[in-house]
Amino acid sequence: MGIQFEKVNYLYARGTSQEKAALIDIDLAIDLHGFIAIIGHTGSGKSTLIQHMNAILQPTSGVVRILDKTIVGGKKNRDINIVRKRVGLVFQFPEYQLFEETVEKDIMFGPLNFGVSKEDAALKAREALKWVGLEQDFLSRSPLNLSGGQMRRVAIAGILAMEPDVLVLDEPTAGLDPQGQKEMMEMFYNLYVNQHKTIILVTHDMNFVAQYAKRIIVLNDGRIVYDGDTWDLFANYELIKKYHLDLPDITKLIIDIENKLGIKLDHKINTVENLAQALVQALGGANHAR
Amino acid sequence: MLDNIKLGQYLHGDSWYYRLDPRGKLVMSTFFIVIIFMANNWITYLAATLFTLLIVLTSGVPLKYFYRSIKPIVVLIFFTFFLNLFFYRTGTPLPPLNIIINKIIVIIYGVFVALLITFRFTKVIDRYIIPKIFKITTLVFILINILLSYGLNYTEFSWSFHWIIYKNALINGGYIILRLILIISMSSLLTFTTKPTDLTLAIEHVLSPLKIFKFPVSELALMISISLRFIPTLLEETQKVLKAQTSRGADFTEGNIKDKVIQIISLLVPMFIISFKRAEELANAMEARGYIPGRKRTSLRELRWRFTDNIYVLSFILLTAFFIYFRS
Ligand SMILES: Nc1ncnc2c1ncn2[C@@H]1O[C@H](COP(=O)(O)OP(=O)(O)O)[C@@H](O)[C@H]1O
Ligand SMILES: [Mg+2]
Repeated sequence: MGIQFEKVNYLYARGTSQEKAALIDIDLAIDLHGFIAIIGHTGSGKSTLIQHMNAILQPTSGVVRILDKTIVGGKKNRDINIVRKRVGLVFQFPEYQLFEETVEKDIMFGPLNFGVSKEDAALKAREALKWVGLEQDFLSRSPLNLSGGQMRRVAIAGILAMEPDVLVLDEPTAGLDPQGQKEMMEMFYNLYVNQHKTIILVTHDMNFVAQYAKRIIVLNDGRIVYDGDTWDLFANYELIKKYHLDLPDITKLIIDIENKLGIKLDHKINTVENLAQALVQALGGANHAR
Repeated sequence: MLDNIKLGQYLHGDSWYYRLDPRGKLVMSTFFIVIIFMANNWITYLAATLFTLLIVLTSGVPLKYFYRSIKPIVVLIFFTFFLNLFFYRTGTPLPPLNIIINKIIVIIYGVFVALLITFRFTKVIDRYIIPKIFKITTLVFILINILLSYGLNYTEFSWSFHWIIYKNALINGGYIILRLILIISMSSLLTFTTKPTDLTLAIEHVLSPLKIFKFPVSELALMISISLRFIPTLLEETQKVLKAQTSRGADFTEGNIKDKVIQIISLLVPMFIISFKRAEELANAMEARGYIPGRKRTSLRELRWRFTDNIYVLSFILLTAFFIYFRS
């Protein structure tokens, strides 16, 4: 179960002069119940990759297995709509997908499309609104005159109401204020812990990655160049430099201190408290030696 | 999904045709569409074909691009041809051999349409424009035709319907195909070799006499260039919204009419919002840079009418004279 990619390639504008290989030989296995971050530069293929996870895009060649559905590249795959219920995909700037008169109706759109009854869909809408941290009195408001952050929450609620097992998010915090970003990330973590959802997150914010994701996948020019433990990556300075990746603030601070004081510290230290302790030890030790 | 729609067909290049004044090109391409209808016999059509061929071959645009712009309407062309065979019923009928010809034509057409539909349309329009109905009607159409042509063997006994091809229908059909191809080639050549901005400028110049009647020509030209500029952007946005709603289970192929309506609305409303937003942003940006409607503005690019432009125009006049003289 979960999602597997086998030798997946994807070409945009195939057969034209602008043909572009956006994914190259992707092999990937994602089990259920994880919190995974996907990072990489703009244009590295992150969005293309995750659009394969609910069969919005189908591989040019290779095979994608989504839960119990197999999508074979280059073929016409039938009855794929149903996987979109189980793998909820939140696009970048999802607020553009809002179109109904009321928030409630908009959130119900997904469930209704998958054959849920009106009453049940309304219940799910209420539930979903709770998860994204909005009050119930939003239900009757028009989604089009909410604030940007609220609109985005409603859009995410629209996906959550489909009750997907896997939630895939494309840069969900882009364009939000710092507080909004923090709340949004906490919300996903909450869904992961309390609702047992699998979360797959595309983001540029390494602080959040460091804080929440155990596993990290790095894309570069359409290829997966790293797939493994998050802190192993951040501690691997060569890889970070090679792919011009950003680091979490704490790791940057550690490297700064190392350079200024000429000492060696563990790059996997992940809290300020632990860093302070390590510093005391390192400097204390140095003082004794003197 | 919308990958195959291509706009802004300008191809980078250089040749005498590229260097022609866009005003001349625009007016003459339009003029050509008018005069081609004067051609009505083999000699005039031959002249028109040679004329077009000469321009096309020396224009420096690779032939494959013409092929590409004709391809999408091949179905239409053959459909017209076929209808013509059916409904053009004057003149001399073809000799009895026609039964076999009929069958061959019908089968070729059937195979052709079937191939085209399976290989081209399934990819382009894919599942988003009721291809099923389209396929079924075409199939039925083909079947009826094949049956009819078989039935013709027994016309005397059991069929009261006589399907006879008339000689003129064939010839006329051929002319129609030729005419469409010529028109498309000339018009494509215009867009291949003229930048949209130049084209708009040409439109502005050509329409400028209308200013006497207080017709806002410059504003119209600006509107055209802005539209041209934003069509690709809006197509991209449409694709995004389409994907987003598909992710929410909207299925643009299946479902009853009522579902369909909601799904179309789920596409239209966001598109309207996005368009209005873009329009507002653009209007503000233009205002901030001092755009005032109706004010006289200079243009970055000045159009220059050269000697070759005269020759170009003259060649069309000669072609017209030829048509007038030789048409029957
Ligand atoms: N619709 C499209 N048509 C053609 N090329 C595209 C399209 N979408 C993305 N690309 C190209 O594919 C590559 C990967 O894009 P994308 O997956 O959006 O990257 P990311 O999300 O990591 O920024 C980029 O080089 C981009 O230019
Ligand atoms: Mg992206």
